[in-house]
Parts: sequence; C-alpha cells; structure tokens
Amino acid sequence: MSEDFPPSRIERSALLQQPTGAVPAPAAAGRPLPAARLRQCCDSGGLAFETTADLPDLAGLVGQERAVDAIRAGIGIRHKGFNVFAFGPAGAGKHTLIQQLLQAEAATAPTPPDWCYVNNFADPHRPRRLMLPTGRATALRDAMQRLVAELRLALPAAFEREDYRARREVIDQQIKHRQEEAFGALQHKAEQKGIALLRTPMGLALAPVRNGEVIPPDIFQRMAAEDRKRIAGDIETLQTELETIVRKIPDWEREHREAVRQLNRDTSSVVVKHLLETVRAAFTDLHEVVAYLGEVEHDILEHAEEFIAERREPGEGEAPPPDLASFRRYQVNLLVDNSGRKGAPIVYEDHPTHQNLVGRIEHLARFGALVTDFNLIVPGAFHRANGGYLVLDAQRLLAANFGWETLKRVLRAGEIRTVSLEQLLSLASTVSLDPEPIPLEVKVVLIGSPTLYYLLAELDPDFPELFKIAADFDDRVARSAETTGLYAQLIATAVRREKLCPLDRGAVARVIEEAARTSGDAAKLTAEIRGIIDLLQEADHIVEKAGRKIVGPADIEAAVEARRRRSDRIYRRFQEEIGRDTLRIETTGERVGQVNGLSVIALGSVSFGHPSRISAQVRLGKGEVIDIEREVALGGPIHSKGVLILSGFLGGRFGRSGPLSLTASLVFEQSYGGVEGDSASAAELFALLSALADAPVGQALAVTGSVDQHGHIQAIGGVNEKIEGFFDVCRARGLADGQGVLIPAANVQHLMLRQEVVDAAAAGRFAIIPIETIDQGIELLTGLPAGEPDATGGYAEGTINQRVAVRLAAFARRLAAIAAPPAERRPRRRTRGDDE
Amino acid sequence: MSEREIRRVVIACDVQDEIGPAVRKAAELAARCGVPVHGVFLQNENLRRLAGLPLGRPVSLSRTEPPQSFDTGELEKLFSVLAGAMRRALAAAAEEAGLDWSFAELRDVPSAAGALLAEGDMLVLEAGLGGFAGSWRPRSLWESVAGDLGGMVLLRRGEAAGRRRVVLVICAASADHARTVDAVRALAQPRDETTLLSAGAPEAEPDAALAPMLAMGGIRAAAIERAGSAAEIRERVAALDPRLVILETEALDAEALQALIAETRCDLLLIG
Repeated sequence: MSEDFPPSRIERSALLQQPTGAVPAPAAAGRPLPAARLRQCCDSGGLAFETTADLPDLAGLVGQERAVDAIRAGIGIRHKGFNVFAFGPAGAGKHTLIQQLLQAEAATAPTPPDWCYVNNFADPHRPRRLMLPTGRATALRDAMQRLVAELRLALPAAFEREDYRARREVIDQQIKHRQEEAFGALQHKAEQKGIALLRTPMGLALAPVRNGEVIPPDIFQRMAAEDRKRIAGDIETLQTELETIVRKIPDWEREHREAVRQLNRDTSSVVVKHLLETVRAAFTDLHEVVAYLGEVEHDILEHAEEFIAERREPGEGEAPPPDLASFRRYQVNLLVDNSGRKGAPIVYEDHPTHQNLVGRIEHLARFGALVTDFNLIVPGAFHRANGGYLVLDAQRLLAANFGWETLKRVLRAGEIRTVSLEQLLSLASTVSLDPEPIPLEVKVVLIGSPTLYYLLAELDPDFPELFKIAADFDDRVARSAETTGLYAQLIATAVRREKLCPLDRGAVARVIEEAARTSGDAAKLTAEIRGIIDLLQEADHIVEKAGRKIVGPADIEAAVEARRRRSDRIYRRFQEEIGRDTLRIETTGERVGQVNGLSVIALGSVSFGHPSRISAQVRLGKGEVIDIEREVALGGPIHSKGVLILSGFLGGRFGRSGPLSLTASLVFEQSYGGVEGDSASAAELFALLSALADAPVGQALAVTGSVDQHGHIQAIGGVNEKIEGFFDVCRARGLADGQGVLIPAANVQHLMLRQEVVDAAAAGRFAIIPIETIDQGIELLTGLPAGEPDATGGYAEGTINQRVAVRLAAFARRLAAIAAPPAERRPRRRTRGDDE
Repeated sequence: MSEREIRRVVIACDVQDEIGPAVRKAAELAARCGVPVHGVFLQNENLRRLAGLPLGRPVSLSRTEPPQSFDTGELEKLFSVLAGAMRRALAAAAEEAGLDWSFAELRDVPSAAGALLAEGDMLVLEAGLGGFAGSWRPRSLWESVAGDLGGMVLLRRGEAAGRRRVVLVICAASADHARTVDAVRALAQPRDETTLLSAGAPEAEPDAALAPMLAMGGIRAAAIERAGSAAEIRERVAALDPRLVILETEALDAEALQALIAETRCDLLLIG
C-alpha cells in the first residue's frame, strides 16, 4: 500500500468524490472514475450524414469477415462434403448474409436442367426419370397432354369408320358362327333324338323331352328298358360332345380377342404414328425422350380400345368405361421446371421433414382404396434445389421427422430417392412406387447455433464428412471509427428494408450506443442485428404515432426505455422488496462481516443486476471456509470454485507459518435460488476479512469482482447491470454521500452505464471505483489501511492484515490449548482477538 | 284416355333370374302405372323332372371339375330359398314405392304362367341376353313360352349398349289399340322417339288410327311406316335398332312371332 493512500476513515468519503472538470481523467485504481469513463458515447458529430436516407446500403454484415470467407470457400469448392454449417448467435443476420452471398454466386452459375417423372410401361411401380435441358420439360408435358387429347378424338373417329366396323363385324361373326355352329349342331342333333338342351342353375343339361316338356321321372321309369338305355346312351354321347365344345370356348374367345386386338392395333396405328411423329420431331435430339415416346406408341397401340370405350355409354351390366385416370400414364409429371430461371436455384426449406426434403408420393382415394401413380410424386426441397443451393435451419432439421437422417443419406448417396417413411422404416408392406432416383448436385448450407455445431461435430461421425466448412459468426464486433460508420450503414440498410422512418445522426449514434451496451462492452458492438432492428421498429412506431417523419435520439431513448419498462417486472419487484426492507440491503452505515455483493439475474432476453447481502462468520476451527450455498446445493460449481480460491488466498497470506485454525461460513443472505459464478468472490473475501479483522465495512458501497489466490481482482460479466442495480436501490432511498460500486479495473472498458448513473457520478453523488487488488478494496470498504508485510512477514499495527493475523493467531493458540493434554493446560487471561 | 288398360304388373321369376333387380324394375313399372304389383315364383317343373332323372349332369363353362350333381333335394332347397328371397324383395320394393303387392308360387312348367294372368295384367319376364359361353346362349326359358302366354307380356332383356332411344310400335290393323297406347305411355320415356310400324297388306295405307290415340295420350309419333310382311317387319326392327318394341301380336303369325322373339335383343312387349 502506498503511503499517500489515505489511511483514515475520515478521508474515505472524500476519496469517493467524483473529480469534476470537463476533461475526463484517466482511470486510476482505487479512485472514482470520471463520468466520461462510465459511458462511451457515440459522437454524432463524427457521423457524416444527416439521416440514414443519405447512406448507401451495406452489402453484408459488419465485422463478420471470417464467416464470410468461410461461406465463400464452401460455395466455391464443388467437391463432395464441402457443405457449410454457419453458426453464431441468433439474430446475427446469418440468413440474410448467406442469402446475399448465395444470390451473388447463383446469378452466374449455370441454370440446372428440368426433371420429370414418366410412366415406366414395363414396370409401372418404378417410374422413370427424364432429364431435359432447361425449359424443355414443359414442352414435353404439354405435347403429351395434346397428344392424349387428340387421340381421344382421333382414335374413336377411326374406330367409327365404316371399314373398321365392317372388319370388326366379320371378326365377331366368325366367333359367333363358330359357337352357334357347334352348339346349334349339338342342339339339332339332340332334338333329333328327342333330347333338349336346358339351362339349369348349375349349367347346361340334357334331358329327354316330349311335347316340349321334360319327361317326368316316373314316366321315364315306366319306359321300356331298351328305350331308357338308348336315351341314356344318347345323352351320354351328347354330353361328351357338349363338354368338348365347352372346353373349346375359351380358345375361341382368346382367338377372337386377339383378332380384335390386332384389328384395333392396325386401325389405331396410322393415327397414333401420325400424331406421335409431331411430338417426336420436337425432341429428336434427346435420345431418352425419343425412347420414351417409342414406349408410349407401343402402349397406346396395345390399349387403343380404352380410347374408344370412354366414348360409349355403358349398357346395363357392362363394366364402366375406363375413366380419365387410365390416360394418366401418358402424362408427364413435371417435377422441376427451371424454365424462366436464370442461374442456380436457392431453396430455403423451413420445415425440413423427410417428406419435404425428398418429396412424397401422394395417393388418391378411389372406390374406397388408395391408389397412386407417378403423377402423384411431389418434389421435395432437394429436387427444387438440385443444381443450386439448399439452405436449412439446423435445429428444425434435427427436430423434424427424420430430417437429419434423410439429409445425410441423400448427401452420401448423391441422389434423391423419393420413398415414404413407411417404406423407409419397413412399416408398410403394401405395393407402392419406387421412382428411379435422381442424381443430386447441391450445396447445403445449414444455419444453427454454436452449441448444435459442436454437439454434432462431437457426436455424429458423419457430420465432419458432410459439412467440412464451418462459418463461425461472431456475436460482437470491435467498435472503431470504421465499424461505427459501417454500423450506421447497416442501420440505414435495415431501415430501408423494413420500410421504417429514417434516423437522424443523433438517433444513429444512440442506436450505436445501445449496440455497445447490448454487447456488454463499450469497445464492442453487438452483432445480433435482429435486436437492433426490433429497436428501430419500436422507435418507428413512436415516431409514426407522433406524426413525424424522422427518428431522433429521443425516440430511440424512448424505445429503449419502453422495452426496459415492459420487461422489468421482476426487477421492479426486487427493488420494491428492497425498498420495503423485505429484502434487507443496507446502503448506509457500517457492518462487520457484511458486504453488498452484486449479482445478475437473466430471464430470457432480459437481465438485471441487484445487490445481495453477503455475510461471513468466523469461529475456531480447522481451517475451512464453509460455503453455505454449496452445502445446501444452491451453489454452482464456479461459485464453489471462487470460494475455494479465496480460501487459498487466505491460507497463502495468513497461513504460511501454521495451519489456519478457523472455520468461516459465507452466505448470500436471503438468497433462495441458486448462486452461480465467481463474480462475488471478492465481496465474499471482503466480508471474511472484515469478520476476521472485526473491521466494519461501509454499506454505502457494493462490490463486484472475482479474486485470484494472490488477491488480484479479476473482470466479471454484467458490470453495467450490476452497477445500475445498486444505483437504483440507492436512488430510491435518496442518494447519500459515499455511495458507489467497486468494480474490477479490467471492467472499466466495458462500462456503458445509463445516462442517469453517469449524471449522478458527474454530480459526485455516486462513484464507480475500479480496484485491482483485495487490499485496495478492503481499504475503501473499511477506511483502514490494508497493511504491507514487513521483513518478518508481520504487519503494521492497526492495519487490516495485522488485525486478521492477530485474530488467526489467537485461534491457533486456543486450538493448541484445546488439543494439549489436560495437565499442560494453564489458565490465562483473555485478550482481544481471542475467540469468544 | 282416362281409364288404364294396365291394372296390375305381374313379375314372374324362376331360379335362373336375378330376382332382386327384376322385382325392383317391376315395382318401378307398377309405380309408374299406379297399379299393384304381383310376384310369381316359378318352381319349374321341367327342372324338377330333370333332377329326378338318372341321366346326364349339368355342364358349366366356369367349372373345370366334372359335372356337378343336380338332385331333387338340392333343387327343392333352391326353390325354397329363392321363393323366400323373391317375396322379401317384392315386399321391400313395393313398400318403398307405396304399392299394394301380392305373391304366389307356381309349381308347374313355364307355359302355365299364362293361366295366372287376369285381364289388365302386364306380365314382366326377365329374358336377359347373358350368353352361356361367348355370344352363344341357349334360348331363354321365358322366350320359349312368351309368344304363347297371351295378354301383355314384357320380355326384359336389359338395356344393351348401342340401342337407339327409339320405341317401335308395331300395330296390327285389326287390333284394339287401347292397351297399346297405355303401354306406350307406361314404357316410353321423354327422350324416346316413337315410330309406328303398321303391319298390313302391301297395297294398304298405313294404319293411321293409332297415331291420334297416342297423341291424345301425349305421345307424338315421329314416323309412321308400313311393313307388308313379317320379313319386312324384322328388317325394320334390325334397321331401327330400337330399345323397345311394342308388338300387337296379331301383326305376325306364330312362327314369325317366335322368330322375332329369338332375333330381337331389345325389350319386347307383346300385346296379344
């Protein structure tokens, strides 16, 4: 401790007075910071524009060069597996940036071909894929539609011509005559013998008749035996002939059908060939299409009667004609139509389920059954993105039904296989379609959080193979004159994109200050641009309501305040309970073993600071510091670590010559939730030293900071919120002399305090004091010198360290006395510092 | 024409008929005429006799195994079951159409069905065109006897595809047309085109008496033709390809009538 450091309590409050003067003083440890150091304002005078309308758009984001380079590399490398995983904080503009980069690249990339599915006439369950040059699939689809429409007119006309009817009549008469001849001859033969051919429920039967009626059995039995025998013999012979004829009928029918089919083929061939020639002429350069058209021709000729049947009304008992569904097999399912597209496609699939990625096979309900065909194959995101880029949200992909597994399978296979989940999981055994897979050439960009990226990298062995490019977005960017200018441009771009009222310079400066405040660092600006846009929109609403056209700094301030007000219910509840002394926080006076610590509570996107009473008790013991929070499982591991570190400091400073014979307990008073983090470890150490030294601590001060084993104060997070939390408590009670917060000197650079705190500091009514060591802090808190060790390791009388050492020595003596055999014990006079 | 000549529709079925549709169609016709419907189930004595004979067995195209047994016991069971089914179908159809109905079983040869008919009955017989094998079919049970039954007998063949919507009325000069007119009113449909074919000597003028009678009943004859012989009548029937022929049987002799019944494929109403 330097000699010029004020050692007395009287001088302590004077120390806390804010230096005045226009020129900000440099930060000095142990002294209140000048107001200028509490908030790094953005000088609107340095912004060279009147309103954001004067600024050009910013292409990209500010300070994300690393991520941009990575994405560009990923886009550029065409080899397998060089897909991109872009990760960073939510709202950092990842989607927008990726979209911009992809659009720039896609614009100059070749336009991918069109893809269709057509019927596989050899195996309808395996639809064939057809790849056509860009824009030509539509022509094929339309040509096939026209073909079917024309065939439905031309073929029936061909079949209604007289020559066809005459030839058909000949064929029909042939079989009719054949049958009538055979049966007629049999019937005639039977009649000659007095036998009739009767129709029975079981089929045809032969029976002896007389006068057109069957001979009754009793009469038959009374007939002469030889007559009966003759009749039986005749019937037996006729029955054999009848059976022979009946057996021939299927062959005759088959021959008849074949003859009709051949006639139909001959009749339709001329029409079909002529009409198909027109279609073929447009696709002679595409061998696959020409081959397909050949199959179409063959199939139409084989099924020409379907075109005729649809024109005829069915008679009673006749099967209905084939409906339009039967012509569906000549349609072309245009899966991907890239006509009209310039460059490669960029597809963002926001619901990346298995089906939405690889497409699905839909079904139609017909007569109570579900049927499907190749026309019901619906493309997925991979189909649409083929030849270009597919952008997916990683979290949605992992949460979606089999999305992640499907993505990996497709990327590994390099082809899109449209298969239902039921088939994939072997849950369904019904016959469905198995479309020919489509070759895939796509670059996938996943967007997610860092947590997801690292989890996938660690847990999924396929991930590094498939996503070789990591684009890591920073959550904040360095604040400099250059980045401030770019940030202003970014604000201007967002204002235009969101169609908001322009901001004047002052408003932009205020937004930039808020961006620094959000980043938790005066020297940084948040990269989470979505929050900034929300703020702009809110300010725009205020301006619109006021009937103005330009957003000013007051509007931004009002928007910030409105946001804070909306979300500070819990914070206000804390403040209220402190004000009512339900939560006891002292902001004046002195207490031994009690320090105002500061903590931050984060609730969703809102975080706020508030003071907590940290108290310490010491007693005779075996050198342990009990963290009550840990004992009751309310303390997190980092907090416990902080307590152990301060124990280390205590042992290092005061236990060099012997074990510490104390037990100390530390607690966050009136804390009923968990405590985590080590930012209160300095405050806990101060409370402990105060208790050991029996030196009262000024309650006008609060403390935040972590401590190492050598007594150095280290930076903590949430410094602004913590300071403001204590400030609000003090202000509510009326600011009093000497109030302020001790912060780690390393946190000075992070200060972006609310203006009212800055104003109070400027007026000398609230002090922010950076400290670098425990000794600096304890002096400010107790008003007593900490004390430097002399050559013997002792401390000067009256210093904190000396008082601690004396107390610990007393503990040690007392413990030794207790531990000694009874005979050695001697009564002695109690001295100050002994444990009571 | 105020009083109806058709006073009852009689539907007769035997074991070969599709009873349900036949009964429903008959009930619809009765409802159109506003008359009761009477059902007759024929226990065909010829089949019973056949079943009792120790001779050949039925041959069916649909069966590849040896001919099926066909005994009296099975036939009686079949008669019983089908008669019950017809009775129930008739009751249901009549109830739905709001008709009076009655039912009887006839144990006789088919030609005996004529004896059941009363004055004003229209007997409806199913004489479907379903072939036994391919296009050949043995003559229908009812076709064999229809010409001999007398009265009004409608042979229903089903509405075969390709039939033109023509109702051909073949009238005999000597006949009383009242029943014919009533039958046309009952059976013709709004879209039908009615053609009159007057049978008579070649030199005679077409019988024009029927046309005004039809007109009084609200039916306009699209054409009135004349046919001098049975052959001409059969030619016209073939050429017109009507969906329904209404024939006053006096126009043809018995042999020509049988030939016409055998040749026509459309519905045929005989008015004797």
